[in-house]
Amino acid sequence: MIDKEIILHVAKLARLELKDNEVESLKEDLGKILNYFITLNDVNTDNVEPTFHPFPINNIFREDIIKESYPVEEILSNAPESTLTYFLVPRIVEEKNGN
Amino acid sequence: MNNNVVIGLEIHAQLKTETKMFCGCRTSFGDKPNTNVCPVCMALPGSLPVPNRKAIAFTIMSGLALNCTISRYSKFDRKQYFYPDMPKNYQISQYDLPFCRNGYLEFLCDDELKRVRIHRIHLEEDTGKLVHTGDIMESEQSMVDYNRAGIPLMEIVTEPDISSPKEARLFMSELRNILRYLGVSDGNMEEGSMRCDANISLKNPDGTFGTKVEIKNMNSLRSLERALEFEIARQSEILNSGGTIIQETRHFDERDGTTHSLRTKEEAHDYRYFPDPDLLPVVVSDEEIRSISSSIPELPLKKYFRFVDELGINKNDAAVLVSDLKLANFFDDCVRCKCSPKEAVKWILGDLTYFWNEKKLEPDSKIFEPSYLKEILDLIDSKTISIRQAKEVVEKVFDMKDSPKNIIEKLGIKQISDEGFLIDAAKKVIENNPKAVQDFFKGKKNAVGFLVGQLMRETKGKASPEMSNKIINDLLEELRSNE
Amino acid sequence: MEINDFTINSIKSEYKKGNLTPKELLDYVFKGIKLYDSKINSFITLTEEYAYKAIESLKLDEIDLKPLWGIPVAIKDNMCFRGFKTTCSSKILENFIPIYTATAVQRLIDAGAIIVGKTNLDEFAMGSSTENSAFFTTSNPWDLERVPGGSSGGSASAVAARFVPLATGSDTGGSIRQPASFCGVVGFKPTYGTVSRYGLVAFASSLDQIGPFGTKVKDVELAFSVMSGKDDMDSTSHPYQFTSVNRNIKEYKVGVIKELYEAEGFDIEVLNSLNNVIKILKSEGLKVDVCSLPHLKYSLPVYYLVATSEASSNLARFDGVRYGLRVEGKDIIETFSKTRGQGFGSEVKRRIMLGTYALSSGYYDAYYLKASKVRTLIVNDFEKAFREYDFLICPTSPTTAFKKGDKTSDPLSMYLSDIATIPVNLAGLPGISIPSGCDNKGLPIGLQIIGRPFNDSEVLNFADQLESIINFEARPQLGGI
Repeated sequence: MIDKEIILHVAKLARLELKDNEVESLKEDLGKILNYFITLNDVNTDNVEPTFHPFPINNIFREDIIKESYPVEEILSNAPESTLTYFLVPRIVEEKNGN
Repeated sequence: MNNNVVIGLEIHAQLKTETKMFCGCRTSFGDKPNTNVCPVCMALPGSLPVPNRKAIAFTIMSGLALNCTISRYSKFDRKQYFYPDMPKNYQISQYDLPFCRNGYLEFLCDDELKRVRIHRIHLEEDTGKLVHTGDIMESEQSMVDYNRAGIPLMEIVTEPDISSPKEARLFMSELRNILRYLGVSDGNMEEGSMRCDANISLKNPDGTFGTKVEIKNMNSLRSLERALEFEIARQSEILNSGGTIIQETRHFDERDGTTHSLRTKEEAHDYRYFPDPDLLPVVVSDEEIRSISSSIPELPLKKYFRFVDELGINKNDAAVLVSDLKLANFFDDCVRCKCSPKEAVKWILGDLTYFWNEKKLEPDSKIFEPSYLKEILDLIDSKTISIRQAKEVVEKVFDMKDSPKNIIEKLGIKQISDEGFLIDAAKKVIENNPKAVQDFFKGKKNAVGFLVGQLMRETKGKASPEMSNKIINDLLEELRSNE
Repeated sequence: MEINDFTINSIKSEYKKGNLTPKELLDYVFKGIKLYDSKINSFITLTEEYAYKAIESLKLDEIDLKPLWGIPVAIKDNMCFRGFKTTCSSKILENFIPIYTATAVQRLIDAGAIIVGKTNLDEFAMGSSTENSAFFTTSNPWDLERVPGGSSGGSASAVAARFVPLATGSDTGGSIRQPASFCGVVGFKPTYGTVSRYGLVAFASSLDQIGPFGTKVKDVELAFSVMSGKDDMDSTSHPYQFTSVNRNIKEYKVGVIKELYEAEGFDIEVLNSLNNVIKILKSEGLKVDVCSLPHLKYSLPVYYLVATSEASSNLARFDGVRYGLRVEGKDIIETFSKTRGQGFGSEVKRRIMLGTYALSSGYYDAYYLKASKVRTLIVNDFEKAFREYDFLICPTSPTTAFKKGDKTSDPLSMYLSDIATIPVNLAGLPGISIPSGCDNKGLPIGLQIIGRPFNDSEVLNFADQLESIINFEARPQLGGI
């Protein structure tokens, strides 16, 4: 069941700030949608491999050959904030979780 | 001391490819911020990753060198979390089907062979770098440089088989050396091309594993060892005083050698791994594995035993040679040129290393060729030059960038072994140094040395030291009997 | 204007005869847009200055070498075109100017096409009515009270209104075919991987495919022949080489998809139109049977789980650090959340939430993985059907264009309007929608033709011949030319 707590947890994972009314409507919408999706449980998928790509194609690579990078002015051209040739971001309050 | 220490390591090694993991940008270190980036590694809308074939080959090669089973079927997955150094806010990594699994690494610890099992090796992409003028948590803003973002990163995870800080250091040192032998990574911990996190716990009295603590931010082998030593002491103290260890991530502080808790809110990570739909599976054939396998050079441990057991090199020297592939190769080339292994080691670890260091050259720099050493050893053997002259010739090789034979010819360095000539010169020396002769008669042993030295000076150092010694001695004995 | 219809063939033949110049055509295109687009709202951005400049480099002696020489084209605004805003109809990219051009767009340009503007869509291509655009809603040229379909509603309406002869769309679950059906034009979703996705702002990577809109099958075929082919920048692009096929329609065997024919929720007039097509085909001597694909009824949940999972991940990059909107918070986490919370519209947020949930710890197996397994069964159903039939046909959409606002309050009912197009994306197949008639309100009805993977030419060949037989000549009152 989708409750407010789940909505807030998922919104946090997805880094989405939600207004109270959004939390409410998402709770309702997702509840309805997921309820409709329960029909998938009718399908027996024992011994069925999942499909992640439409076609079974493998081993597409590039060779290790340098391709010129883009000029830094272009790279920074859409930046909300930058200094020197760095992107600038607000205060970081937690250490990285990854790696 | 502690046989209840349980350590496992997670090593990240940047691969030495020319280009990034999923785009053609350079992987070079130290360039101006955000100059080695493109739409792909910047995660501009609409850009797509295409994997670097060489990075995959390097990973498989590392797996083979570490005795791993290579997955015939692998894929890339997305590891999702938000952080500003990661352009896509997910990292392309491998979750359930890494390229390599179930291997081991053997290394020597106190002359004993120690084996640490490798749990898995997978390939992922590095993140960008956050730059601050002060402490990260206290900076009002962070600067982001994405030059590093997307550099291929190999993650090696060990089983918790390491039982002391020293073993951890030796393991890392051996691993680093192997990666360098393979040419897949610089293994430079100081520059960050190789990074290591450690999981450490102390076993409970009943033998079960204790609570695991993760330590990060160890930027050298020495730091790794220090951090683990500190952590063992810290945990022991807590346990001895009846406390409990908290599962957490701790940061090593280089300055005071302590670890401190990162104090992150303990929130279960939910990385939401799933197969990256932009990338296709990787199927590795037996033939590819054979071909990569055949390109693996002799690895350091095997080389070490060959040097010691077959070439009779002492263990310390062998360890020094093996610690640097170029040095070991130079030595091997000298042996191939028929140098006596023991003589070669003496010269390589002595004068040659001195000049390579002084001139900031690598052993493979071609200034001093392995065949030169053979020439020099032969000239010494044939008494054409003295050891002292040989040293001079070595120096000249570095200065004049020429072969020993040419240098000897050009500079006229040759040992004088013409007996008649040396006897005449020695007579003159004795004549000119009556005081020394008197000293000799008084039993002063160093008088002979002085006179030999004078003879050397007379002959500009070209006199065969051996013959000079003999001639001076003979002449003095002759004088004494005539007395 | 000397040309009678707005097809590439007739435009080029007027060019060659000297009756028309690219400049004259551009004048006409922009005049039409200025006159009528205030009502239809197809375009977000016009690239007028660029277009007039671009025609200067067209050399008449290259007209036979460049298949799209002097052909004005509209680009869906989720494909990067260097130097021009690419918004995805989202506030988060409102001022984003790409520094590179999508491969498919570049191939059109290289073939002589002239980009005249970027068209409206449902935000990040998520929707079936173009009502989810953060900027404005596009109207259906046949009835301004109605939606043009979506998500490529801007492109479909621009072609329907004869603003341009050709436009690009992207199709993740029907976003080309359904609006083509609603707007009475031809819309083609090629086999997954035949057209590079490089530069297409990703919605769901394993489903997204770029394709063309035109007024006739021959035109979309020409555009497809130009856009398709291997691209080294897209790992999933296929080494496909277009070659046209010329087989008589009578040689083909056609299956009518039972689950999309004898099903509930389909307008009677839509089914009547399909029956009419079946009758035509039979009278032409083709073998037409009803065939069942039993797992098709699970397509909707499978699609919405797979697509939203991929989307939740693909859209993580919009965080206000490197480009796009930034709403400053007290720290980076709050900045991320505010930027995304305020930058994305409600449907996008709904899908990100759904996808994040479907991938999250404890739910992955039950949702994402389960859906991916049922996807296999749907793919298998198609494979089995194609052992028997050359093509499968069904209505493109259960209804004709619905009224604006009709479905906005109920996401599930909106999702259901893609019921017939979604399975095709799950299996990566080529699918085309061609007009097959009108309902009693005079709104166009679309027929969907589905082919075997990489049999795009066969699909186009069949559709072309069927198009001639059906001879659909109606067009909206409103529009250019």
